[in-house]
Amino acid sequence: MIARRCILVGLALGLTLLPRLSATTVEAPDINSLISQSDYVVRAVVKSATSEWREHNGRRYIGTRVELEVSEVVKGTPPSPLVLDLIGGRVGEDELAIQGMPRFYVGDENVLFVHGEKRKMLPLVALMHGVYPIMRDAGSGEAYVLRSNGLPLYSAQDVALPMNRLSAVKQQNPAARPLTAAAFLRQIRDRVATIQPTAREK
Amino acid sequence: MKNKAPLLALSVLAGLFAAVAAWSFTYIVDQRESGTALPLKWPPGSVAIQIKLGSTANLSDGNSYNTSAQAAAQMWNTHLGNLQITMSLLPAGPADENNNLNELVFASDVFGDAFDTNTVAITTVWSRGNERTRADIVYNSARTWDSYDGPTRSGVIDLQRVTLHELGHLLGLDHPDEAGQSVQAIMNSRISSLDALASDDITGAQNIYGPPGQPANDSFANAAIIILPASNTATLSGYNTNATKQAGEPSHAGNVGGRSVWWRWTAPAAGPVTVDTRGSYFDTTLGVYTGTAVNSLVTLAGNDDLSSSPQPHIQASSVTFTAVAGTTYYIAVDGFDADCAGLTLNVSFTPTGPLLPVITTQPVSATVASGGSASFSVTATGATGYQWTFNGNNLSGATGATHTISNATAANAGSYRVVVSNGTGSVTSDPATLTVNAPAAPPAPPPSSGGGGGGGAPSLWFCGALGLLGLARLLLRRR
Repeated sequence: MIARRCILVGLALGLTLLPRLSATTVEAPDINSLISQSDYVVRAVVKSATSEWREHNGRRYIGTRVELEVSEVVKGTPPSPLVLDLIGGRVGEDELAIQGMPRFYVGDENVLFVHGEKRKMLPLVALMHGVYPIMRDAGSGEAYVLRSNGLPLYSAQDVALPMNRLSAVKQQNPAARPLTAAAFLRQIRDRVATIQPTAREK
Repeated sequence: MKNKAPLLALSVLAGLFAAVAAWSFTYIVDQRESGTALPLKWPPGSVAIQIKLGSTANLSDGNSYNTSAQAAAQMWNTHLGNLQITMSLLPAGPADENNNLNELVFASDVFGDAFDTNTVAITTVWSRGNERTRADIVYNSARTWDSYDGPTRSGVIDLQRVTLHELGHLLGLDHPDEAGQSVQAIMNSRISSLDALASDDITGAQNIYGPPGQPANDSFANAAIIILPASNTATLSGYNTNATKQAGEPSHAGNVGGRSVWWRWTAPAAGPVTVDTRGSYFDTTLGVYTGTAVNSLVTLAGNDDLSSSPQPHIQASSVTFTAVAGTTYYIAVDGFDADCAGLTLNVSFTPTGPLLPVITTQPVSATVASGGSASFSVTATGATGYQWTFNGNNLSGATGATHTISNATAANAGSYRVVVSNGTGSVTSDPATLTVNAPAAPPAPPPSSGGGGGGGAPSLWFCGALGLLGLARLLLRRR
C-alpha cells in the first residue's frame, strides 16, 4: 500500500515537473488536443505510396502521395479515397527527408489523426504523434497499437508521454497488456463525444 | 514495404537493448533497397551554412538570433574530427531552395505547406546515394523565440538549444528516445532544461565524424596492443577519421583505402582467430599480417564485405586465420575508398594448446640523470620466469618482474627487454630505452683580468692607483 502510494506520488511529481515545452521539432499534444486538432481520426491501411518530383514557386522538391483504405472512422467524414500528401520521399538516388516525418509503406495499418483540407507540411497532426502503427500478434491475431518509436501503447493518455518514459499503466502493473486497436479507438470515440472543438477548428 | 517490418522489430529490439546499453544514440541511415543501413553522412571537410535569422543583439543572453545559432554550431565543431560546420552570418531572409546552399531561416511554411501548430522547427535533408548533399533548418516564425540558458520558459523557445538539436539532425543523428532509449541527450525529441551537448550526443556524432585529431594507432609502429581477457574475446573501439596510409603499406582486401589504423596481437597459443568489424559505422576493409615493417608485411587474410550479395549487403569485414603460438599478428582496418568513421573490432580466439605467458603491461622507456636510478617493470599473466636483456644480452641476476639500474652511467644507456616464460615457452617484451643524461658541467671560472662588464672585486692595480691619487690630492692641499 505504502509502495503504491509512493509510486503515485512519484508519478504526480514527475508529471508536475514535465517541461511545458515538449519537443524540439514537435510539441507532443495530449490525447484531447490530438483529437481536437484532427479533422479525421481513422483506422486505415496504406494502399499505395508514390514519391515524385514536385515544384513550388520554381523550387523543385520530392513529395509523396499516400493513398489510404479507411476501415474505420472515429471522427469526421474523410473523403474517399483518403490521400495524404507529404513533403519528402525518394526518387532514384535522390532523397528529401524531414526528420521526424513518419514513413508509410504499402500494407501498413495505422490509427491516424489527420488534418483536413487545411494544407500542412504533413497532414498528420503533430507529425509522429499523429500516427499509431497497428501490429498483429502472430499467435493470437490480436491487433495492438504501437507508438511511432515501435514500442507498445498502454493507454490513450500515454500519447503525450516522452518517448523514453514508461507508461504509468505499465509501472503500476508490469503484467499489463498493450492497448488493442479496438480499445484505443473506443477510448478516442468516448473522448470525441465530450471534447469541444477548438477555436482553430471553428 | 520491405523495410518496415524489420524497422519495427529493430525499434523494439532497440528498446530492449536500451536497458543495458551505455550509449544509445541513433542515426538516420541509408534505407535504400540497395542501401548500406549505415549512417547518411557528409563527406569529410566542411559543411557551409548560411545563418539568415537576424543580427540584432536583443535576446536574453545578449546574442542575436544569428550569433546564438552560430554558438550552437561552434559547440558541435569542437567535438568533430573530420567535419566542420562553417558559418556565414547574413541578414534575416527567406530560404532560397534553388541556391543549393544550407540555410537557417525563419518561415511559416516549407515548400508552400504551413507549419503544423505543434511543430517548432524542422530540418530538411537532401541525400544522394549514401551521402548528405544539402540541409536546411526552418524555424516556425509563428512561435516566440529567444536565446537563454537553463530551464525552458513557458511559451518562449530557446533558439540555441533548438539549433543544437537540429544541427544534430543535419549531421545525421536521430532521436534516441524515439528508438525506445532512455538517455540524457539534446537529441531527444523533447526540449528539456538541458541546454548543451551531452556525452551521448557527442559520442554519437563522433561515431560518424570521429573526434578531433589523428588516431593514436594511425601508424604501423604505433599499433594498439590487443590483450584478450580470460574469455579470449574482446570488442575494441576506435576511429579511422583523420587516419592516413603509410608509404609502402599494403592495400587491405585489395582496396586502395587511405585511412588505416593498426592493432597487434601476440598469440598465447595455437588456434583459430576470428576478427571482424561488425558494429562499425562505415564500409570497412580488414587485413591481417605478420612482419616487422609496414612495407614488407606478409598477408595472412583480408576481407572487404561480409556479404556482397544485393540483400543483405553487409559492409562490415571479417577474417579467420589460424594463429601460431608466440607469433605477433598485425591487424589493419581501413575504409573502402578511404571511407571513415567510428569502428568496432571484434576479436575471438579459441586456443587449442597450452598457453604462453601474456604480457599485459609492457616496460616503459625512461630517462635518468647520471648517478640516478631507473626501473623497468613488466606485468604478465601465466608467467613463471623473467630474464631481462640489455642490448640483446642477458643481464645476470635480472630475473624478476622489475629490473632496477642504480647509479646509472652512460654505459647503462640502451635498449632493455624482458623474456617472460612458463612451462610452455616464452614471449619477449617490447624494447624500452634508458637514456642517461650526462652530469651538468661545472660553472666556468671568472676571468683573471681584463675588462668587460662590471662587478667583482677591484683589482690590485686599481686599488694602488686610487691610493696614489689620494696621496697626490693630500700633498696639493698642504701647499
